[in-house]
Amino acid sequence: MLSAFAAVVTAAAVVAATVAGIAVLRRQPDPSSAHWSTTLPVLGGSEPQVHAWNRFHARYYPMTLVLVAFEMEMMFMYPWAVVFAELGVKALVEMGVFLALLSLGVLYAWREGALRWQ
Amino acid sequence: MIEVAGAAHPLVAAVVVSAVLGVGAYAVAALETGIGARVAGHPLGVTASLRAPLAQAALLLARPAVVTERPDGPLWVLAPALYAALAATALSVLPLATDFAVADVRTGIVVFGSAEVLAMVAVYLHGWAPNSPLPLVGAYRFIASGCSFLLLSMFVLIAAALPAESMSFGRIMASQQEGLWNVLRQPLGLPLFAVVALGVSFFGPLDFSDGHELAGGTAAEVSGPPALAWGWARRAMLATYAIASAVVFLAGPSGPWLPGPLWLALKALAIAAALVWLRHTVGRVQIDRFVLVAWTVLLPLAFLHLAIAGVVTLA
Amino acid sequence: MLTDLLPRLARHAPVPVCLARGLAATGVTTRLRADPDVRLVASPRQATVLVIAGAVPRAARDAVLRVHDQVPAPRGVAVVGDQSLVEWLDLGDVPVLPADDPVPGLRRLHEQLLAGAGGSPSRGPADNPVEWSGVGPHGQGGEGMMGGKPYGRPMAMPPQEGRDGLALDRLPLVFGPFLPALPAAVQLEVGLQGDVLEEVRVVPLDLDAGVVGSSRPLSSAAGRYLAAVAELCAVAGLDALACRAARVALDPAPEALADLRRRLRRRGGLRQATDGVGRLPDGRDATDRWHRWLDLAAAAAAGEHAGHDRVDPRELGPALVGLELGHALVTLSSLRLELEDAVAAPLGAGA
Repeated sequence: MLSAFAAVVTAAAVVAATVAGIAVLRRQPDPSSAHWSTTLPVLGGSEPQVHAWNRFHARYYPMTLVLVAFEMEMMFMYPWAVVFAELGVKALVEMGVFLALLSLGVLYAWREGALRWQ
Repeated sequence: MIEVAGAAHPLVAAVVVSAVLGVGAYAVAALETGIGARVAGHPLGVTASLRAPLAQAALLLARPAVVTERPDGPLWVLAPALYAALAATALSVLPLATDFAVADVRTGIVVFGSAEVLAMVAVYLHGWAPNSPLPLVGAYRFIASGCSFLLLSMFVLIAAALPAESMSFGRIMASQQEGLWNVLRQPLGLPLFAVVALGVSFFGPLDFSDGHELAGGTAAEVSGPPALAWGWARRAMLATYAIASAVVFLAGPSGPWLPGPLWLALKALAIAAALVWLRHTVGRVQIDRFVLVAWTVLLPLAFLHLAIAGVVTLA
Repeated sequence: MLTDLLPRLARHAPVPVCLARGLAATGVTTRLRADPDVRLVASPRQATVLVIAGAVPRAARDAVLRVHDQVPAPRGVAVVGDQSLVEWLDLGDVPVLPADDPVPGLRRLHEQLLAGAGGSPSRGPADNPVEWSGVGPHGQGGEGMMGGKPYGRPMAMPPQEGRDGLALDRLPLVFGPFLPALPAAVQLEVGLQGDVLEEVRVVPLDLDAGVVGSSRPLSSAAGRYLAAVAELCAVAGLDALACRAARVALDPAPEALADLRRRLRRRGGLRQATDGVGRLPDGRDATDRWHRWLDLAAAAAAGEHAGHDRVDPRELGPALVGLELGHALVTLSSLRLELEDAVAAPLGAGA
């Protein structure tokens, strides 16, 4: 277990360090020392009136809730998948019922317009 | 906790994962050039296609990196590094030969799935960091698309785990050596997984975060080496997904006559070529339509897929 | 050794070009788009060379110089057509490229930069002309949580009442006139919340002061329609198809045109990006509009001249309210010809 963990972490860390190394190449450490007019955000020729960072409307918020509901259900599905072949039809029916219940949530979200953009 | 293919020494792991991601991303970039030139109607030779990514990388390395007004500097560097590290993590649980994986853990699909979810964070940071409106819009869109396609991946991977009776990718591969390949047993899986692959690496028709209409989206403010880091990382992610698709649906490295890694490379290349072909022929879908279709069409299809997989497993 | 190898390898890459296009620049745009040796990039950050082409409104002088400064230094600059743009923008010693064969000159400029040439100096102020104001290490302080003005620029603040009774920020932004998705000489003024447009105005640049530079549209009417289709393809992410369409636009032979139409009309192709997008009061969406361009191109190639309508940009604003930003930009891109002709009408340079 530990050896697997060490292998994954080492591999990820080495790749991350390499990419970060490339990403800092030739980057100016101090943005304020750059020629100011070259640092304006790309808008196709106009100057911004405000900073870009803002408190925006998270339109995907209801979607994240449905997503979390399903991701929780994964906690149930992972062990279910492993023992599925042993339990047979019973497991299939159980999961069918479970997913049907969760789908009601999606249907509700859909009816409420949570998946629409405006 | 170790399944079929075992775990490698950390140093071996680092070398193998870096090499596979490096070559994989390179292959994706070369395919992009080659297939793009064919679609454009001025076919390039193999040598020219293979040289193009190198030339592009050299050009980016030779150019300076820019900064924006008040960027979030550390996050701007962290974003590509994190994204690439997630590709590395996902790759390390996949079997690269019939008896070798960097870490063929019993919880393979859980590790793979978590890497996929965290990719949302990496892309968001890349759009957030430069303090610029267009990258921020790209980042915003990616979250919405991510919420919509992530579930598909989990259903597809769990369906593949049913006949394997394990969440290890090694066992998923092994289950196909004995029976039919999953691409036949679970016919909806590969197309659904392709949607996830395009979505996570924001590629082609699902390029919501870095699209041309947003002047490059989250990449609108990067130039020079950081642009290379980002471009390489997303192609490495696509390569990882091509390899994962080959393992889950085409029995990965197993096959007659040829050595395992070569089989895996061939299968992954075929899948990568198909994804790149989509990138050059299918226009970028509108984000609002994608979200609606993902929840109301693709998700029910994923349920159906799971049901089919269950019935076939029991039959 | 590496310092030597990099530029040598880099020379094999296509020249990344940022194009600042004025009115009637279809000739140059299409030639650059069709050439595999050039890559028209989405953002000036990704370019080595800025190309200024077409008839640029005098009102856009500052905008051109802003884009100029956003190309990372050392940057190359070239103009297309004649010397007038060079003098107007005070560019110094920059190459003037011929409109019908711009690529060799670009290539030369690009290679000089890679070999270490200095490039065009930045033109805007070196320091922020607005005084620092606000309290705290980032100037974030002020009234309440976010009333400060870090670097002389306020944070976005909510309008009086947000949509759901929430106080949400609205970013007032002006895009263009040199965003690749926008038609020439048009700016998009928006109030952006997240990525949705709450307020929209499509504003043509003021042409009262006149334009500088020469207009070199494609000579064939069929070519102009196909060039617009090529630009739309590029906006939709289909750069390879855009290159093919641009090549047909330069030489609209009937077989090539028929082949292009067949490729573009496939269900899974460009239509994915345009179906149902930007439906205007006349009931047409973006797909209908580029289909019509293709029909008009075919008709023009066959010697008939049906012509297209003009669309006044100022009337377009209300139709775009509530759209997602990308949606709106694709919509404007699908009206490129109609809008450009309406904008250029006062000059008498329209279709």
